[in-house]
Amino acid sequence: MAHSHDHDHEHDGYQAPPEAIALRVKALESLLVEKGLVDPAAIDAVVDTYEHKVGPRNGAKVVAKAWVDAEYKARLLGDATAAIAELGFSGVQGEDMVVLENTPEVHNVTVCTLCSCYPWPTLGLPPAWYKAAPYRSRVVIDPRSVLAEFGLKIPRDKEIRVWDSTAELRYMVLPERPAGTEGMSEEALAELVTRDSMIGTGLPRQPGKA
Amino acid sequence: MSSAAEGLPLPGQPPIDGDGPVFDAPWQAQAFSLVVNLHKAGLFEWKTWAEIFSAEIAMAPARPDETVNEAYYRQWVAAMERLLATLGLVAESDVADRAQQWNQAYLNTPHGQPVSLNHASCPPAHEHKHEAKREPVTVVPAASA
Repeated sequence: MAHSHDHDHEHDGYQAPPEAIALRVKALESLLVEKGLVDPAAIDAVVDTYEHKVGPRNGAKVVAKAWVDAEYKARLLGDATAAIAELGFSGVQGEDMVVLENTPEVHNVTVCTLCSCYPWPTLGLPPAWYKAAPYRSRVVIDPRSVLAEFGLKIPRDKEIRVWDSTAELRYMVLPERPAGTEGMSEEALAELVTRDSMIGTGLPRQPGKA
Repeated sequence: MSSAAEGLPLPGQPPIDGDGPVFDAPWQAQAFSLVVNLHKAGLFEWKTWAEIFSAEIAMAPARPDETVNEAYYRQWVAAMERLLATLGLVAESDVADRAQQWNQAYLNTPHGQPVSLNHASCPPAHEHKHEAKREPVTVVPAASA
């Protein structure tokens, strides 16, 4: 190749190529489009969906409904995939969901130790720390300390269960409904539900502090 | 626990982000979308993807000079290339060749014009600023009487 990408000053008026890995992705995309294996419009649609449309608000609606509707909660804990699909949330990485109920005796926290399996339809794409090695390795070894680093102090007399999401099934936590929320609407309750409270590294907001 | 856990120095605090952007750069979003679309097209089970991706994370852990997303999507792209090669859909040498062609296409494309792959071999005319031409560019001779 006569040109390399780091001499754009000698080449005024022309476009500097992006970094090598971006070129590889562009190469893969163009080859796959040519072979008819992907549709360019579908590539853009998925990007748009995950950048703008899917996020932890979906999961918050599931949690709020479970807080106000005992029958829904029973369905959610029995067959989470079906109960979540009732609200219209399904798709890749949402096929086999298990919802874990936090109680006064048990706190649940989720991780994917090997990569970053995560319930996209309900929580969106995972935060950076969920994908990073320190969280993936440490939360299974010493969850109480890791949760404390998130500002979440779990009392010594409370059991902590760490659940490893995989490609076959993904966990989501049903946090405890905060005290003092009696009579609040489902919509108002959903505002209290944070992403981290559904991963298990946080708690819902207290009413009046949202 | 895999050796992937050794990739980053253990910080005092896990890096905690808000609900901010999930991609640092467009190529990360495109790489993400390609895998999702290929899976939706039925070309592989998600379990297969997770196995290859997990193996790549373990084999090529995050480096200290990378952000989480840089490391994560570097591993993601490498795993995608391996999966596509394993399935016989795209050979790794084809990816390298095509990336070189895109590189050349950028270098051959003037600012302000869309980059097209065929610019790699057939550069478009460069629209220089209009230079003063002191001679007529076209002359139609007068018809003889």
